[in-house]
Amino acid sequence: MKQNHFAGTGKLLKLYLRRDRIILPIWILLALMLINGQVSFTKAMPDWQMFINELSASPITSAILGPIVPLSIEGAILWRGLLQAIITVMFGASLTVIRHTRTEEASGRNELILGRPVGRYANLSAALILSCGGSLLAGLLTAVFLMSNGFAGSGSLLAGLTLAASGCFFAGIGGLCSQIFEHSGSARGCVFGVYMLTMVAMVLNNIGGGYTGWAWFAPEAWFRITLPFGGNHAWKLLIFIVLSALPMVLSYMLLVRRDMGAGLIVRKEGSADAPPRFNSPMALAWRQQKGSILVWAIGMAWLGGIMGMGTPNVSEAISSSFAHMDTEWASAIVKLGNQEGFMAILIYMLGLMGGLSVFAITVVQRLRREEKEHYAEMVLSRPVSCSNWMVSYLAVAFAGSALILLVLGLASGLGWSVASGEFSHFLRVLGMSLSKIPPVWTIIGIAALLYGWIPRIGSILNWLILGIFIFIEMLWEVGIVGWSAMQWTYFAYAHYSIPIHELSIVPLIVLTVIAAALTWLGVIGFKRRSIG
Amino acid sequence: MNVIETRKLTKSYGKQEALHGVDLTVRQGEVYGFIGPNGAGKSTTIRILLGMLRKSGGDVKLLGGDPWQDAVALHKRLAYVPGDVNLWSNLTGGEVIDFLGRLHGKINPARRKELLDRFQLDPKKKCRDYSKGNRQKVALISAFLSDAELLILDEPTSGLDPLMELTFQECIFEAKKQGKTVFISSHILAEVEALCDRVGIIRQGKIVESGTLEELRHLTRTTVTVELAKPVNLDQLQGVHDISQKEGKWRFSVDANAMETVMNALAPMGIKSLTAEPPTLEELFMRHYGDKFEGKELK
Repeated sequence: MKQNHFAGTGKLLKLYLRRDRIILPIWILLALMLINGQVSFTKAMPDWQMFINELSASPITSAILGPIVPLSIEGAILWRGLLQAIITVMFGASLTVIRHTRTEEASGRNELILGRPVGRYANLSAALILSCGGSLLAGLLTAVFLMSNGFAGSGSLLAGLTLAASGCFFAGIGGLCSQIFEHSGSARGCVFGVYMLTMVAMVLNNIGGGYTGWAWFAPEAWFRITLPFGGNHAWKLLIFIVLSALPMVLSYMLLVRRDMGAGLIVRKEGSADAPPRFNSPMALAWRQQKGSILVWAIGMAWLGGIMGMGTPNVSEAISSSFAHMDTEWASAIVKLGNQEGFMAILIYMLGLMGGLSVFAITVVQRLRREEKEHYAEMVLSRPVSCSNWMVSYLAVAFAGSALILLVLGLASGLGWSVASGEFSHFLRVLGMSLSKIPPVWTIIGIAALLYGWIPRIGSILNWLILGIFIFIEMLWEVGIVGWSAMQWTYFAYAHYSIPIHELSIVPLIVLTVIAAALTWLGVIGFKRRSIG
Repeated sequence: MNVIETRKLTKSYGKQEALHGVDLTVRQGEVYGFIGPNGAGKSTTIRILLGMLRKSGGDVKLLGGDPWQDAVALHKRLAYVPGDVNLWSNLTGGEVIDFLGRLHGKINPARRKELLDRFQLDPKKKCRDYSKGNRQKVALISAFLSDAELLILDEPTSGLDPLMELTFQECIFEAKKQGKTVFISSHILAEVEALCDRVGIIRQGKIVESGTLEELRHLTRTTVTVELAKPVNLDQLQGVHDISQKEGKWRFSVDANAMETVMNALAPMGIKSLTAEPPTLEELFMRHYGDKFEGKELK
């Protein structure tokens, strides 16, 4: 009677396709757009041949993004474009599974379905089929896209299938996390945690030259195992399929061993009384945010520590051709030196561009969530002013981001110092990290302003602004725009390309004042508008 | 003194008008029932009273102040239970009660324990694990725990079981004894009938009827069922409507002011049995809502 457990899978799949008719194309097309971006980016460069030669000669870029393999235009596209596309598909696939399994279960909607003649496995199966199908579609479209750009068919197909395999693996991870955690938020956090672990494996693989066993632990670097356009090891896809099946099989095994709605982690009772100091909007804001601040701090300590320890392995040799590259970026890196540059870029990416900017935006968006879910109403119907409520949350955001940056600086500084036995690095690295506080606060200020005045579209605008600034950064790195364009972004004032002892303090103070002013304006907007 | 007073209160969201001039008067110490179906504008009115929504026009006074300007000062004197109680999923019920109470000031631990017992709430559970009824209890306990002079309750008993509903009614009567003013929005008419001194009926963003239940009843007909010894021609009587005859019993409705003449006319006919039912709140309500097409015809 095994068959019965899958009854209804097809019908559920239809429902999920209907529900995902917008979100599914988005993550598939986003992957394609990222590859397309890298293709047009590389082709637009007047001298891409020289550019990739030099990039692969730079120990810093090799350590962060890995060596360019093969050393051709295809390799340059895989190197960053396919990498980004794979990461997109990994998240798209895993979050889709969670969306249709744990989220449905936690909301109780699943009961409506399971009350019908639908098998025990139908829900998970339909979600996995949807995610793996989406990944495969993204892979095939990638292959077609690469071929249409005139690249070899075999390499294009292998690149696409590698992408699909990475997506399927993470679909399984999404399924597994959904079984373990009772709430969809925790399951998503679990996926993100697994992703962070794979990132560490990826960087360790890159520092080790790009061909170490670490690559197996990093699905985003699986193309370094199959080597499209190079060795074309297509048979290794079979191993990926087996690897992807593992978390899926585990998910099915766990699914039948637990009750509906329950996770594997036993829920605890809490305290019947609140601690005496839990008595103000500020206390509530801290209580709500401290978990995420703690997770960010631990994540940053872990990443920063490991990368810091790895820093002495970055070769200090600078190839002569790289030294002669005439972009501002290349000369800045030459000036910094490879190890210092590696650390500066790392702190910049974790502490500002990639990491803390996301923290800052999401933490302010929490305000919107509290408002939408009517939590804010419960507090604001008490003698609490609108400004008190909003400022409390923002104060926690300001303090929390500073705390995370402090931890990042301490951990990476210590990691590098201990591994190299040279403690002069410590204060410099700490300085690099702390210098990111004013720009991060500016991001919070902008988010607060948008939330206060235009809460509905504010969150999209936040991400858009960040995206545009990152785009400007990328254009600057390859020398398409000059530093004057960078200066329009908050990135420029604590930029990794400026040696920490040359960094000017005045712009940082100005940024802090701007952050305060934006916050103040945001609070005024919030006081003037309706709640809810 | 009037605790709540609105005059020609309007609220529009863009082109869509949610309130078209709401006139409300709630006097000190009374229990006021604010009734209307879903989407009539009950919650919008309440949110304006709480200073969470900005009114579009008209006047609104709450405890003598302006709900938008003086929100914090006024909220010290009131307690609110929202219609849709959402609570922070990672806090326990006990923590939420303590936290909300402390925003107001001190909590009376004896009273807290008493209310937890009466509503049979386990304060150790995380809010995400509470059912709808239990979340509602957290909000109710927290409201009854405060010594606010005004209680604003938006559909407070949705999700409560009948036993808890009784406990809730007791708490309202206690509050009334203490001289507190209670403003309840509801669409459970039996509850309003049991609790409220005065009611206001809202329809499509306008108050269509308000007054004590007695006053409202006076506006409608009483249903009379009577068994008579002699044959009678009821059609000739003024103020009698909807006449029907079943198993020898007459059934008809009588205008409030025609009751005396009708009774005088019936008395000599040999009354064997007679029941007179005052209109229920439901009938009053249906008078305004019963005919769906009525509204359209008016336009």
